Amino acid sequence: MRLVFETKQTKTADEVREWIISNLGVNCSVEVHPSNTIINLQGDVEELDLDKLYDWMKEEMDGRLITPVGGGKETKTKASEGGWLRR
Amino acid sequence: MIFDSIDAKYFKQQLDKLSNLNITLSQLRDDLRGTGNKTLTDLDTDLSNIYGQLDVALSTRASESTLSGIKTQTDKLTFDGSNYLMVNVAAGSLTATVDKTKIWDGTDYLEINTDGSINVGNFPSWFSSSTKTTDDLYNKLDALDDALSSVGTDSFRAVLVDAIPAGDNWIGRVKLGDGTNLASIFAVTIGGSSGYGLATAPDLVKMLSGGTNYVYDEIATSTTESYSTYSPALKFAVLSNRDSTNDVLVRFNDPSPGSPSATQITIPAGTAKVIMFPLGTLNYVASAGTPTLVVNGFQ
Repeated sequence: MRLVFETKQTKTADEVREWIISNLGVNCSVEVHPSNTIINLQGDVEELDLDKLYDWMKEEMDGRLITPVGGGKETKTKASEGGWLRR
Repeated sequence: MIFDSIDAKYFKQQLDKLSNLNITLSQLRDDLRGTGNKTLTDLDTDLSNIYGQLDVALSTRASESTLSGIKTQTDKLTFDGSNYLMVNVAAGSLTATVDKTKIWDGTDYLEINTDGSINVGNFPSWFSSSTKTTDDLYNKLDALDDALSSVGTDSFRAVLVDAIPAGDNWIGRVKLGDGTNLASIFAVTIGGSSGYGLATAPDLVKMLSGGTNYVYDEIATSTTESYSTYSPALKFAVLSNRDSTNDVLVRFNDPSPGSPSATQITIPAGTAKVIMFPLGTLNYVASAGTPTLVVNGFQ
């Protein structure tokens, strides 16, 4: 699953990847650019874990998901809050 | 009637014998009583008392030879100046049936409880400067058990690695592998010197299992230096300057990309560079304008 966030560059790719592996338990690759972050999750991730990732990205990098590409269905991902992200 | 006549001479002979009585009868009586003035009645009473205390026959008592044998053994006992018995306990089992006892030297002791547990009154100074109890030992062992239960976690691995002191550390019988296959040591020649190296495979092998991400970034550079980070690092990359006029300057793996100091390399307009080493951090800045820098690579 490929996720593209609009972010501030407050974390390095290593820091983002370490958090994902530790908290979501999946391997991934991460690119952190000046204004966006690209995450490729290598494995299935539960909906609740995705919510955790979105929350963390929002808190730590002022992140906002802008382009979910591949692997997901068209649905609201933040169901508990009415959905502000799409993938 | 018959009269016996006694010869006067005979009578005199008998009377002469009285001369042999050199003490009076009262003196004889006193001498027999002795200095304690004991009468025969007194002696009889004393003997009766003594006899009353002899409740068994003397023949049943220990013989002189038996007592001598006991003395021979007791003579082997030695005592110190405080009359404490000094003994050496021979190797072997020593069994004592006691409700509770202490083995001690006057200060430190070992106490055996009725339930078989042992209290150690004072631990040797080399063990601790303070008194320790069995609970202290239990707590330490419990903590050790907790620590060992985390074997295999990353935190415990970090503790082990951090515990290795600086300098040369030989790691002994350690196997490196995946649990089945061992990593191999190969003879190598590096810089003209022969030695042994641990064979490793590059992460490129992940490509075979579909674990590698292909990176394609089109980065709009500016005259303000910016940077991107990649994790895992790009194993190799092709950096292309799509602009036909303006150059792009790049830096590789700067340890502080926000305030970089690594050497800048120019990618002239319309050219590309192939980077054949891991690239975790890429700084870029345009010489002028906003040239697009394209990054192709594998993570």
